[in-house]
Amino acid sequence: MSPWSEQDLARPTIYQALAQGLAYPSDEFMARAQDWQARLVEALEGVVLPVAQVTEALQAVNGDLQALQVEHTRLFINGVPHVLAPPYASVYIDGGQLFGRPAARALRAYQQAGLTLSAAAHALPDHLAVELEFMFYLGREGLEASEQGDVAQADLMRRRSAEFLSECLLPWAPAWRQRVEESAQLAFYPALARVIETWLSADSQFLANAT
Amino acid sequence: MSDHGMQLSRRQFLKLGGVSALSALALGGGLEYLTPIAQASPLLAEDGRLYGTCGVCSMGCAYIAHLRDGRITHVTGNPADQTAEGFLCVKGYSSVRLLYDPDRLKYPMKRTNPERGVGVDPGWVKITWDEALDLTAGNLKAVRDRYGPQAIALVARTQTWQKHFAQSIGTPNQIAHQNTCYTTHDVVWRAMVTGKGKTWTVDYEHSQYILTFGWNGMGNSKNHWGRAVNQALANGARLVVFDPRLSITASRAHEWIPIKPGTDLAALLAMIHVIIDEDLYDHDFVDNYTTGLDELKAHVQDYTPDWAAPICEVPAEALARIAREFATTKPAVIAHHKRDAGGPNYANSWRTAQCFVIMDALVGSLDRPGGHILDRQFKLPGLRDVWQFPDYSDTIKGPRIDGLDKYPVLKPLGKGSFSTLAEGILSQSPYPVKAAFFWKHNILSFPDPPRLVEALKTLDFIAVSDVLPTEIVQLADVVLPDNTFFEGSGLNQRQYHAMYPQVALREPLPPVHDTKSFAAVSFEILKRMGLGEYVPEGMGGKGLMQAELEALGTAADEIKAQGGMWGEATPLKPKTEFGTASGKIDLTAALLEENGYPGLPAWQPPRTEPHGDYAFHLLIWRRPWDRMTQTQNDPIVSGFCTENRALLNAGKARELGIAEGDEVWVESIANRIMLKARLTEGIRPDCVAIEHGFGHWSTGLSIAYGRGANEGDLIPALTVEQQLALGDPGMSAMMEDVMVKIYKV
Repeated sequence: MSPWSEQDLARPTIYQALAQGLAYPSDEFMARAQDWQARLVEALEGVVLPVAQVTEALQAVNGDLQALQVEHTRLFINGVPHVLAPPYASVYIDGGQLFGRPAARALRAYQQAGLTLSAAAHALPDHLAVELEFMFYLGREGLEASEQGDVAQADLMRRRSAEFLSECLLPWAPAWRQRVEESAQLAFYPALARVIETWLSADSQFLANAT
Repeated sequence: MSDHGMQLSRRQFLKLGGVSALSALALGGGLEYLTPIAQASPLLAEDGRLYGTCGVCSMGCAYIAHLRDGRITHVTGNPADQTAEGFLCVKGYSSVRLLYDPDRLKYPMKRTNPERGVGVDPGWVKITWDEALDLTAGNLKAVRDRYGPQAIALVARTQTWQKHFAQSIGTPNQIAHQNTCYTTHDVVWRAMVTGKGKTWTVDYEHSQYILTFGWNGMGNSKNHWGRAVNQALANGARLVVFDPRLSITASRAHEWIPIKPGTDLAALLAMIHVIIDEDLYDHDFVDNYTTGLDELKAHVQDYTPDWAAPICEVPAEALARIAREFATTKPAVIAHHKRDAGGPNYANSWRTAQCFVIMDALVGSLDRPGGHILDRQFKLPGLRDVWQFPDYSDTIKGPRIDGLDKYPVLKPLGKGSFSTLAEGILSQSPYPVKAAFFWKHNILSFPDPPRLVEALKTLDFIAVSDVLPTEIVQLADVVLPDNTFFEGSGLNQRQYHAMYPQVALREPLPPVHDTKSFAAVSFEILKRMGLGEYVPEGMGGKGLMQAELEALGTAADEIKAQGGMWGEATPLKPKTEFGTASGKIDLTAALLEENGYPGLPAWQPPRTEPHGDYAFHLLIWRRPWDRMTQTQNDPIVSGFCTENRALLNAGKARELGIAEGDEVWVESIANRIMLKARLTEGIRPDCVAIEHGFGHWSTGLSIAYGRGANEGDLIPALTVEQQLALGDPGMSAMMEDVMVKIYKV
């Protein structure tokens, strides 16, 4: 097992920021967009990622919250022509329906970690933002264990992160990113999707080396 | 780390958040979607089973849903249910795919593009339920305050909470589909047999002779009836089908008679003539349980098989023989349900439906084994038995935009008209309608949907509560995503096979998305419109179900322990009194006469006859796996047939130079649609048959979109005056009383 490293420190921030970027755009998000970008850019500093495209695309939105909401709704919820890039694993790897086996697999992972879905969030277990948030959670738990000197727990969190990433995220992230790129009207979500896909791949290598 | 160049230093990282890495994360916020298990509200169902009733069609077969990891993996029929008997149909088994359809409406939304129309992107944005409810209530209240409650139309099935919503608002305009479906049967059954509407239970299994006119119960894959008719056939019953098209039911029949469309009435009058003239009727039943035989005898005197034969293009000998067989094989029954020859397909369908009842009465098959059975149901409490709330405003009794208030036999049944809504809105007669609330009714089921779209574009506001993004959703200002039937709860009376009183328990699956039931949505809207007095404390599905359980003397857990069903199987005790004023079956319908309609069915031709190029009768049919948008966006069952076609007689098509697969226009006086031709010997040369369930222009239905064409475009919408001129107490939308011309593209 590799010693606890600086990437271990950055990973939760990155996952959390990516999940936040994928959440439905709110007033609060727009108000704190600068802070969000700064966190993402700084946490990803030095990683070879197209993160600059995200910040440029967000600047191009020019504070037009509604434009971003329309784009989010049509890509990920319902829209015309139809929901174009549903952010659910089941759509890409289990025949196109929601709440398929990938959702069940993700749910079992959450339950193993003592978590379940919040009723207020109204999300399915294999929604990309939920899966990214779970990666944030595992990373944070690992970080906390490490700070408390609990090496075994920290390593367990790393292993679970590696498993969840390879089983629940990597298999469909490229297909989803491709749909976002094909369907988007604004640059923001394709840019974010590219960062997500590239980051997942990079983190997978990191975890493979670290565990 | 160096593998992919992570250069973040601990110092840099700490800079982001302050003192420690963990506090940096805390500042960024905690968990949005996930929560510790101990704090969770029950969002996900536990592994195991849920009892429920299928909501794809109104047969309501009881199912058992099998759950694993919070999701329904599959459903099976509940063996304790007298309707399902452990089976579902292809639609029921497939319905889990509706629940998990990625196209489902998942969150409330509003339009950002003020332009409303076909092919116009509404520019949806997701909004909170609070905003959606405020927006809807605010707009409905503004219309109500300015124009009066009648300016709001609720387009919804006439169920408990839907009626309560419309009546609490004070609008008489609850618009529903029934005059495209079964009102002609309903008024006749009310007038002649039940005093209320049609009965839905038929004891096919014990019948020995099943005669039908356009009924395709086996081809529509009604679970119980398909099995029951097959059982009857296995028992040696004879099945005779009059239908211009070789339907699936006709293909199973001993005899298929391709009758001329819209003339079933003539064939039936001749059969009644034969049965009476040859004294073949059941004297015991007719003498004891019917009125009006003498009038009927005189009435049918001239309706001989020889008279009928040239009208319906069926040999007189065949009509006479089948009449004799029907009267002398016991028990015998006329199979009918909704959109058969007695359903609202033709201007004379209500008279045909009358003949159905007369035929059954003459052979003693009303509420007798092997015949039509009057539903046996528990008496369950209504809203006013459970809650106190003010009387509804008298405005609900006022004139309706669809003219249905001018139909005295139909009106008390609480049904609706689709044929007259568009012209009512456009003519603003008798008053303007300015807002509509649609619940699970799609505009493609209306006659002439393009006309309705024009009408809806004139409205100030449209709200839609539905499951999938159908065409009406594309026209909505606010979208209120509804639960599927899996996500609702309650008790469901057996209706389509109610040989004894029985209710089925429906246990809810926690909603998959951020959806709400119609009831919950309507209560919130009423409160926000300032009509909270109609939503007393505790009103809702749970409270109603509790009252129902108390009335039954049981509890949900007890029903679960009994396998999800409540009610004891009891032997059929034939009724000796019926629901009419006379207490008998009125062969001459006194109620119709009292209301200015003839009490006996005289011959009346259909509205349209072949004329000029309009030489083809339009026939409409449905694939066994199709049931509206509940199945049309299903990637598997809709894949069995990916586009509808114009089904033409092969010989006739050759005459016209039309080959299999050629594109043809089918044109009526309303519109024209383009389809590929399919040729068959199994249809009359003067007919074209088109499958319903195609022609979706809502791109939101990613599977159903763009497949085939909607035959409803060919059916003319009507003004109230045109509708009234037909003198039909059932207000038939005349879905097939349409002549079309056919020509190659």
